[in-house]
Amino acid sequence: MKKENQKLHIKKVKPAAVKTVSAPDDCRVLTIL
Amino acid sequence: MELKRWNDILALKTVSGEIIGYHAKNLDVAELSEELWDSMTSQSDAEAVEQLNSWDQEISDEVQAEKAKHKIQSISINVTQICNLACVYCAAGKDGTYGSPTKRISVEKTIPQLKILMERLEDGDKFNITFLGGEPLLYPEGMELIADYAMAMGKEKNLTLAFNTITNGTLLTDKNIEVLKSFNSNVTISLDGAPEVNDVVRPTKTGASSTAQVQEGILRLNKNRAGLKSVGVQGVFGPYNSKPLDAYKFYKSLGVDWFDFHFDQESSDRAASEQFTADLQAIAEIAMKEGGETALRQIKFFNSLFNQLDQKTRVENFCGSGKSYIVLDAQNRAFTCPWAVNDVNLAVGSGTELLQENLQPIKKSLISTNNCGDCWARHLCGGGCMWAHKKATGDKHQVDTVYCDRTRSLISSAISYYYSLRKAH
Repeated sequence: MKKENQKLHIKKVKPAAVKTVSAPDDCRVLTIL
Repeated sequence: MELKRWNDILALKTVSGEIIGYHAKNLDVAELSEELWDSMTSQSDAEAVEQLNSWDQEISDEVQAEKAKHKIQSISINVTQICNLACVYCAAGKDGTYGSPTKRISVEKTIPQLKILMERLEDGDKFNITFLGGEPLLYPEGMELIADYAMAMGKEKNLTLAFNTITNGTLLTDKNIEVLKSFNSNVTISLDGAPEVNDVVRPTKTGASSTAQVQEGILRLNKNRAGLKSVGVQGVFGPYNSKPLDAYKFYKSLGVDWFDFHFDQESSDRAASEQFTADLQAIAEIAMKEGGETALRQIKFFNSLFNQLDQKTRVENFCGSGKSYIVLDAQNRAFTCPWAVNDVNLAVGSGTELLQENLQPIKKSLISTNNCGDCWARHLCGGGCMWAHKKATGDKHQVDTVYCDRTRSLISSAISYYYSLRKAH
C-alpha cells in the first residue's frame, strides 16, 4: 500500500487473543462465533 | 462523533480528535491520518486518496465467513407458561400464560422432540438448550429431566452441550440452585434496575416487591458459583424504563459476571431509543475508565463486538431464526423465534411432527434479504432482529430505521473503544 517516502495514512491495529467473559449464547448463538 | 464514508470504509472522528477507520468487509480497525480524513470530502491529498482506495479494495485473507451451521444447534424450551410476576410489558398475556390453560410442558413429548433434533448432529457439534417460561423455575423437575436426557445423549454422540436458564430470579432457593448446578447452567436473571424501577415494571402478582427476593437469590447463587457456568443480569429498557445507566450502577453491586441491556423489541420510539443509546454510551465510558477491557466485556454487547473484531468473523445473520435455532412452547409446538410463540400461524410443527419443509434452513443470508448491502455495520449487526423490524414496519425484512440508527451508534462506539484498547499493543 505504501510507496517509499510516502506518509502512512492508515495504521491497522492488531487483533488480540480473545479474552471473553463466560456469557451464555442466546437466539444469536452459532450464527456469530 | 463525526462519521464519513468512502465505499466500504467508515471513518470516525471522536470528540477527542482521534480518527479511526473501519473496513466494513474486512473488519479491520485502523488509525487514520488527518489528511486522509480531509481527503474523504475534498480529495485534497492524492497520496491519502490512493491509500484509501487501495485499502477499500483490499481482499483480506484474515477475515472469516460466518460459521452458520444450517441445522438446529440451539433450542429454547418454555418449560412453563405461567409466571409468579406480572411485568407491565409481558408479551405472554401479562401473566405468562398467553391465556392458555396449559401451564407446563409435557416432558414425555419434549424428549422425543429433542431426540429428533440431537440425532441430526455430528460428532463434536455444539448444542445449546435455554430454559424459558413463563418462569422456568416453577417446574424445576421438568428442567432436570430434559437436561438429564440431553446430557446422556450428548455424551453418547460426543456433543458439546451448554445450558442457560432465563429466570425472574425470585425462586432461587437452595433446592432450585442444586437443579441448576446439576447441568452447570448459565443463569440469566431478568432485572430491570434498582428496586424503585424494577418493582414498578416487574411486580409480583400481588403487587409486592420482587427485587428483594431477586437480591436474596443472587446472594445464594454467589455462594454456589463453582457449579454454575455463569451468572448475569439482563434488563429491558424503553419508553417506560429509560434509565439503563441507573440500572448499571445497581447491577455492579450484585457481584455477577455480566450484564445485558435490551431495548424493548416492540418499541420503535425514537426519543426512547436515543436515550437508551446515550445511556449505553455513558455506561461504556464509565466501564472503560473503571476497568478497561475487562469491565467493558462485562457488558454482553461489547463482549460480542470485541470478539467479532478480534476474530474477524463476518456476521450475515443477526440470529439463528430459520437456520440454527428453534423454540418449543409449553404445548410442545415449535417456532423459529421466541417472540413468535403462541401465534399458531408461525408454528413450524408440534410434538414429533416438526414440519420438515419448515425446518429446511433458509440459505439466503439475512443481510441480503434485508437489503443491508450498503450499510457499513452489516457484518457486525447481521441485519437486526426480524421481530423488532416487523413490529415497527409490518414486514420482518423491512428494517426499522430507529433500530438501525441505534445499532449503528452503538457499534461505532464499540469500534472506537476497540481501537483505544488495541492501539496500545
